[in-house]
Amino acid sequence: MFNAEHEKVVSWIVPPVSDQGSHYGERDPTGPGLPRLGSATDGFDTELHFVLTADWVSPSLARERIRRWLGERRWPRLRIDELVLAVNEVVSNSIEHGYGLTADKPKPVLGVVEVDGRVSVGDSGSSRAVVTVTDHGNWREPDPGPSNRGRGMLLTRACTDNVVTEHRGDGTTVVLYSRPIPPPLVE
Amino acid sequence: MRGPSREQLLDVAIDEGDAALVVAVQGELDALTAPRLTVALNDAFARLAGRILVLDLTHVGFLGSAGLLVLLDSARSAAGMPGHQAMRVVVGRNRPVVLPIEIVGPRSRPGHLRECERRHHRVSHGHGRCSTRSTRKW
Repeated sequence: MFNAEHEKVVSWIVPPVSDQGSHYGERDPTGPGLPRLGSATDGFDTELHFVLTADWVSPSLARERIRRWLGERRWPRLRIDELVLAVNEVVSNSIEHGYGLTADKPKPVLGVVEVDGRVSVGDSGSSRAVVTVTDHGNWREPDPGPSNRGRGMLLTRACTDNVVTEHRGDGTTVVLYSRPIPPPLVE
Repeated sequence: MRGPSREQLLDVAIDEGDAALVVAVQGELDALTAPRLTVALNDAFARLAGRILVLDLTHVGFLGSAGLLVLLDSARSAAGMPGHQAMRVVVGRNRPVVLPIEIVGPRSRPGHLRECERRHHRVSHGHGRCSTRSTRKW
């Protein structure tokens, strides 16, 4: 991935992880009251569904929808950032490899990418988001050449607990399982 | 559903100093906007004339694989230029940018990183050298 050649040409100026502060994994302190986690039974709308066109504007729309969906549930900001990044990569993959658009050939084609999300609550009370991205394109393995080099899947896997890819005859479905977040605090 | 325009998603400004040329990016770096960063970085590398190129991503709200690829590719293609020095990428504590860099980037030693930050401060603020500010929109 990041090889010795890159070390010579780029110098990253990143504060050490220990200086990043406790906001990593912390609940959003700006939100009022106790964190409210969506579940199928508490009256919260936990379902998310939207349809995007095969167009390079679509990843930004997907990011905005995922951010809003989990932000309303007061999810920890790092968990939101992770899922936003993972969904961005999978939706971009559908557009590029499912429908054949590349950054330098950005002509929109007829085709849609469907995104469904739900929050599932486990036995321990912890929650995770499950996001399904479906396209109807002719999916092929990401090109190992200069256009991709596999970074998208690396980022996606690193930002989720599990990624399940199913190649159907008429497209591809990718299911992303977020990292779990702990149960809401009880007074 | 009408999406945001390209202009709303990315803003690139160039700050010309004697010692450094700072490319400051605001907005979101994805497959839609990354080609514009390619143009801006290639132009900046071509005009470096021995200065250091500093890429400031402190105000970038999103960095995906397309944006990462652009900055690594641009940096590598500039490596053959005379007087080449590594491009400095500044991210501050900007989580959406730190996250993907931590995944793909080297696990650098904290001491090394602090040194980089100090050096960047000297370069961009020291001796009042960043006096001429010419901001160009892309």
